[in-house]
Amino acid sequence: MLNRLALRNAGRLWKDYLNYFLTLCIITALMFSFHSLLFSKDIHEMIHYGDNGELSTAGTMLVTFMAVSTAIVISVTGWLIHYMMRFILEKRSREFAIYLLAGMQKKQMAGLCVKENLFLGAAALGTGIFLGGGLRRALFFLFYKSIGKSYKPVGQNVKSNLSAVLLTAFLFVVCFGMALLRNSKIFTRMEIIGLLQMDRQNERVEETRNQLWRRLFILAVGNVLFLYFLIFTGRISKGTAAVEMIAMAFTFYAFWLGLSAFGAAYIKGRGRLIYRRVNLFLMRQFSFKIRNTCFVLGTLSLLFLFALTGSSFAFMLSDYQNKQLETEYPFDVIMISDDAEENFSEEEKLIEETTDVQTLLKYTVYQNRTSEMGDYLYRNLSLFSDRDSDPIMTEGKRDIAYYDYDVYMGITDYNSLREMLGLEKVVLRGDQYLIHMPNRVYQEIRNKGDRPENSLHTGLTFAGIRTEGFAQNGHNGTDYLLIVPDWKLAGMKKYFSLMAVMAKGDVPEGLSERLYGLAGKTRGYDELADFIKIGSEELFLMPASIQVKSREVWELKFLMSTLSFPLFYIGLVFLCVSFTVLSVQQISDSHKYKFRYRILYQLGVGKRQIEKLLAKQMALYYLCPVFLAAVVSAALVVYVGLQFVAHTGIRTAGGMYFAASCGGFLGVYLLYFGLTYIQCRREVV
Amino acid sequence: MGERHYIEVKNLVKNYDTGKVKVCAVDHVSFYAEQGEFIGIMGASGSGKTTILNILSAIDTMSDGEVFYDGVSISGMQEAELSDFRRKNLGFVFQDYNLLDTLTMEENIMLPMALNNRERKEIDDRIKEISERLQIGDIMEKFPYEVSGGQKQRVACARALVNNPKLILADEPTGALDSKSSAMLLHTLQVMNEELGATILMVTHDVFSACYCGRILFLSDGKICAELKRENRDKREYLNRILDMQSQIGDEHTMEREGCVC
Repeated sequence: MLNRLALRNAGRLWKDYLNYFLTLCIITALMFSFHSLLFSKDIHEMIHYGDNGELSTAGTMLVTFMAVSTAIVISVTGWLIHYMMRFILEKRSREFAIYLLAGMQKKQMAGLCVKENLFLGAAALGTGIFLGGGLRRALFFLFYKSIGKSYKPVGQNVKSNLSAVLLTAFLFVVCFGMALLRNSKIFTRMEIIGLLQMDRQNERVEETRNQLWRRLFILAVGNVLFLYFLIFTGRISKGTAAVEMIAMAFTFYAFWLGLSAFGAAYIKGRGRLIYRRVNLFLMRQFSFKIRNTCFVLGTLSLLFLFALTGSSFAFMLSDYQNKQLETEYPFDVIMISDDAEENFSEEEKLIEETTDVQTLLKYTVYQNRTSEMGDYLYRNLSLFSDRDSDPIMTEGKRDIAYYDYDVYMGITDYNSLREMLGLEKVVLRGDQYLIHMPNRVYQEIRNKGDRPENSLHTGLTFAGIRTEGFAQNGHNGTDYLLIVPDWKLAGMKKYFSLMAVMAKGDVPEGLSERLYGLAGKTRGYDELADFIKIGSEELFLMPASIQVKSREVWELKFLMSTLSFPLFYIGLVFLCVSFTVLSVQQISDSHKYKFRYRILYQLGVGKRQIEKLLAKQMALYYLCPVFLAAVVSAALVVYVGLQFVAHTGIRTAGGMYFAASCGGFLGVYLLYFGLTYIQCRREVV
Repeated sequence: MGERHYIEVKNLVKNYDTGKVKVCAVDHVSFYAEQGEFIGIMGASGSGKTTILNILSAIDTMSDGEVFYDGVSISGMQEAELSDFRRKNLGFVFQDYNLLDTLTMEENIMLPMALNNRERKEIDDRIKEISERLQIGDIMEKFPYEVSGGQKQRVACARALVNNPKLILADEPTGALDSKSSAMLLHTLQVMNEELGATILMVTHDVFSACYCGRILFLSDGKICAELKRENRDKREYLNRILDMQSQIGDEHTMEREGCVC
C-alpha cells in the first residue's frame, strides 16, 4: 500500500517540480558522460605509460581534476536535493498532517518520503543515463577535437559504460543519502497542528534593523568597488586577495539584505516611482522576496560567480589550445644541442627514414659575450618585478629565464627558417639588425620609454621588431633573437647547434620518443633540458631540447583539456542548480500567492499587464543574483584574462573570455527562464 | 424610450455548461440602481448572488443580456477595455478582505490610484482625507497581518472608495467579522453611502447587514423573486420585514421543490 502511495506521490512530484526533475536528469547525464572519459579505453591508453599502469602527468591531472570536480558536483547536488526535500516537505505539510491524522506513524512517513525520493531519484538516474548516452558522444567528440585527434564512435565497450553507470549511480545514491540523512530529524519533530498551519503562514514582511542592513549594503558595494580598485590599479597582492575573498563572501550575503532595506526605505519615503502603475506592487514584491530569501540568493550568487569565472578560465585554456600552440610550436621538429659542433646526423637519418621531409635545416646561433638584450628584458618585463615574489627568487629568475649571453642569428639562416614557415623573407642592409621576439614580449615593451634598441650596442642600425611564431622558448633564442647580417657573425662565437624540420604530412607517432632514444634519454626525463631557458613564458611550456610538434601540442592540449573540461562541467552544474532553485521558488510562489494577481485583476489590471508584470518580476528575481555575480566575476575574469593575454601573447581581447562565458550562460538562463515563465503564467493568469 | 438609470441590468443570463449538465445560475434577471443607492442582494447559497456580482464586476462574462453603467454597455467590451473599465469605475469589498499582504494599509489604498496614473499629490491628499473619514489613520503603516479583521475590512472599504467609483461591490463583507466589527463596518458603508455619496451593491445573506440597505433584491434559483424597500421603516420594522420575506421565499422554494402548485 505504502509502496503504491510512494510511487503515485513520486509521479506527482515529477510533474509538480518538473524543473527540479529535469535538472537532476541533466546533472546525471553530465556526471555519466564525464565519468565515461575516465573509463574510456582510448583515453586510458593515452594517460598511462606502457602496460605497467603508471599514470602520465596528463593522466594524473585528468584523474585529479575529475575527482575534485566530482566532489564539488556531489556537494552542490546534495545541497540541491536537501534544499528541495525541505521545500517540498513544507509545501506538502497539510498532506503529511492528514497522513498523521489517518494514523500513520512518523517512522512510516519518513519511510514513505525515502521511497518517494528513491523512485524520483531512480527515474532521474535512468533518464539521465539515457540522455548521457547521447551527451557522452558529444563530449567525446569535443574532447578529442580539443586535443587534436579525431573521434571514432565505434568500438565503445560495454564494460567501460557499465563502470561509468555504476559510478554515477553510486554518487547519485550518496547525494540522496546525504540529503535524506540531513532531513531525517524533520520527521521526528513533526506535530499535526504545526503541519496544518505551515502552508497557511504567509512569509511576513520583516522591516526591522533596516538601518543596519543599509549600512552593510554600503559596505558591500564599497567592497566590490575596492576590488575593482585593487585589481585595475595593480595593487592586488596575496594578502589583499585573501582579505578580499573573505570580505566577498560577506558581501554576497549583506548585499541582498541591504538592497531589500533600501527598497523598503524608498517605498516608505514615497519615492516618485511607486506612484506609477504597478511599480509599487513590483517593488514591494521584490524587496519582500529578497529579504526573505537573502541567504539563498547569496549562495546562488556565489554559485553563479564560480560558474562564470570557471567557464571563463576554461575558455581561456581552450583559446590557448586553438591559437597559441601553433605559434609556440611552428616547426614540425626542432632540436637544439649545446655542443656547437653537433651535426645531428643520426637524428637526420631517422627523420628521413620515417618522415616525408619537406625541408630540413641545420644551423647555428651565436653569441658575442654580451647580454644587453637579456638584461633589458629582465629590467622591463613585469614577471621579473612581480611584487609578490621573494626578492631572492626574483633575482634568481634572471638565470633561470635567459641564456648567459644574447643569441644572434645570421640573416641567411633566418630567412631560410622564415621560408620554411611560409613567411616573407626579410631584407636587411649590411649595417642593420632586427629583433625577433614573441608577440607577448613585444606587447609588454612596445610602449615603454626604455627602448630595447637604446640598450643594445651592436654597432648596427636598428631595423625593427618581428613577432611571428618562431620557436623562441629556448631554441631560436629565448624571448628574443638578434638578427644580424652574415658578415657580423664572423667575430662571434658559436653558441648552439640546431636542426629544424618541416614535414609534408603528419610525422609518425612515437618519433619524439625515438629521437630521445637516439640521444640515450627518456622523454620527460631530459637532462639536456637543464641548459634550455624558456624565458618569460612560464604558464604552460616546459623546457625540452627535442620538440616534435605533434607530440608536444597533443600533450599540452591534453593537459589543458583535463583542466578546462572539469571547469565547464562544474560551471554547468552550478548554473543548473542555481536556476532550479530560482525557478522552483518562483513556481511555488506563483501557486501560493496567486491571490495577489487575482486581486490585481479585480483592481483593473488586465491579463496582458499581469503577464508583463510576472515577466518583469521574474526577470528581476532571476537577474539580480546573476548581476552581482557578473559584476564581481567580470573584474576577476577581465583581470586574469589581461594577465593571460600578456603572459601568453595570445591575440585575444581580455574581456572576450568573459563575453564568451556570458554567452553560454545566457543560453542556460533563457532555457530555465522560459520554462519557469510558462509554468508561472499557467498558475497565475 | 424607457427611463435611463445610473446602473441597469437587463435580462441577464448566465449558464454553466459542464458537459452533460447545463446549469442556469442567473435566469433573465433585470434590475436597476440609481446614483447614491445602497442596494442589497439576498438569497440562499447557490441562488446566483455572487454570479451576478461577478458579472457586474466585469470579472465574469454573461451568457446573455446587458449591463449598462451610466448608459454605457459592458456586454461587448474586450478584455483590455473591461480591465480599464473595472479600474476606473468599480470598487470592491470582499469577505476575505483581499488586501495585498506585501503592501502596508496605506499602500493598499494607494494602489488603485497609482494604477489609474493619478498625480502624486492627488494620491497623498486623497489617502489622508479618506483615512481620516474612515478612522484608520493610526494603522496606515501596518501590514495586513498586523491588524484585526475589522480594521482590514475598513481599509478594503477605503481602497474601494479611493477612486470615486461609479459602483462599490461588496460580497459578504461581514462574513469573516465578529459582531462588533460587523457593526463598525456596516456603519462605515453607511458613511460611504450617505456622506460620501457612494453607490453600493452588497451581496449578503445576513439579515442584520441587509437592513442597512435602502432596497433589497431577493434572489431564488437565479431569479429575482421579490424586492423590498426600506422607505420610512425604522430598523426593527425593516428587519422583521426582511425576515418575513425570507421565510416566505423559503416556503415557496420548498413547495416548488416538492412539486406543490400555489
